[in-house]
Amino acid sequence: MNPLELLPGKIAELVHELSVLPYNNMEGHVTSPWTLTNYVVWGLIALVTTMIMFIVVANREKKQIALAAQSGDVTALAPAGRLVGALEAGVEFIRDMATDVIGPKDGPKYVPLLGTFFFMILISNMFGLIPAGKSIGGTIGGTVALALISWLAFVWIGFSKNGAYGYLKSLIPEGVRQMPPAGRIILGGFIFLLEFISYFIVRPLTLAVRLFANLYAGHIILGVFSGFVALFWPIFEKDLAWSIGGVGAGALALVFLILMYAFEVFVAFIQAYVFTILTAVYIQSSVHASEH
Amino acid sequence: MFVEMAYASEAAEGAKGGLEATLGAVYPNPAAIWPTWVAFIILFFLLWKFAFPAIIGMLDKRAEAIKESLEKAEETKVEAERLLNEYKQQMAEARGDASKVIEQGRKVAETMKEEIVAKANEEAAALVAKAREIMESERKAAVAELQKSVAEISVAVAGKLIGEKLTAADHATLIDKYVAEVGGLNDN
Repeated sequence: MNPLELLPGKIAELVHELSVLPYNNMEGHVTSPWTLTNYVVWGLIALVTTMIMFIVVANREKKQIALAAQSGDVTALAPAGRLVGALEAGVEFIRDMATDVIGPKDGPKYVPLLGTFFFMILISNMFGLIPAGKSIGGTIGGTVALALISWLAFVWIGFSKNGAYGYLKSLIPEGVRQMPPAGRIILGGFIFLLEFISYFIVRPLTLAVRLFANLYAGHIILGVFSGFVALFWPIFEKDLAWSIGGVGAGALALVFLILMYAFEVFVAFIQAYVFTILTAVYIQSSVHASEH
Repeated sequence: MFVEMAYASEAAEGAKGGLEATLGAVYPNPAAIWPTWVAFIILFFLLWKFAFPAIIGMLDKRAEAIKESLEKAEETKVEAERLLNEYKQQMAEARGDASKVIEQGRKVAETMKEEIVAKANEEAAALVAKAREIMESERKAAVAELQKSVAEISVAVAGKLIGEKLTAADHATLIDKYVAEVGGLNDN
């Protein structure tokens, strides 16, 4: 039997597994918004893990700071351990991103928001790489939810920092605003329309679709390669040529699977980073809207 | 093959209805949206109110401590160099003082030596002079004794030879004359 004949079934199964399903019934359907789904369960695991990590590390930092203040011994402030070091590096990374992109004055204010995006997406992505695990970014519902928060944040900041008129006016470039009335109205109106769509529709849409598409594609690729391994590897036909070919193809698929796994770990970081830095860029353009 | 794939995925999706069936994987399921919001809000508040202030506080405190330590180290280094120079200078001064003291000591010793030698010489000279004096007086006494004896013996011999007794006055005149002669002899 040609193992490739089984592939469509495998892929259909894979696509089904990646969709939003009740956590306890893979065959069932999500009938109401309150159904506890596979994504929610894995999201909860990621959330609890993230919270525990941060609570442990923050408690440790508070204790050490108090110790240093009390005894005057600055060695209490020395870096310690991998978890503490990793979270410190992550927080510093986000803080540097915020000050670099948004500016040293306004940047630090948005560190908690950007940090929540980054760590939530990153850690959830890592859980999504566990076989059968799910990432928030692996379903469009999750990424839409995150993109809406990002959208809400930068639109809110834009309006509150510049006022409604100031913010909307900033969508039209300075040069166009100073044109004679005809050009101002026609060209300005056209640019305003484009920029409006770009700011308020394209930005959140691309944020949501980019994260989802990257992770979904990654999960599909991993699923397909592991499907190949599963399909080819155990096949020992009477025909020796088929057996050798099956083992060879399975081994090749396994090598690719491992390489793709490494790549997906990279993607998990990159996508968390991209989502966060784009949100930072959008916030920056809102904070400084009236300057251009 | 692709047709089969399409059929298979349709079969999987088919049982669902409405929007979800039409959009498939790109249907934003509300069952995934609101829990994400809840999770985001919980995590945001935890990070905003608790975790980030602690961690950023630690990062800032550490940076501050490192900066202070570096500055202190620099100060200590400068101070150490200053002290070293000071000690070097003091050592040089002490060495100079020590050689001065030694030089002085040598001078004092030399002066003392000279004094001692001079005194010894003086004493020796005095001893010699005194010895000479004693010898001279001894000699003079001996000479006087001899003159007296010679005079007496000469008178006695002369008396016997001439056989006459001299008067006391003659006697005295004779002695004086003789002594003068002998003294004149001795002076030569």
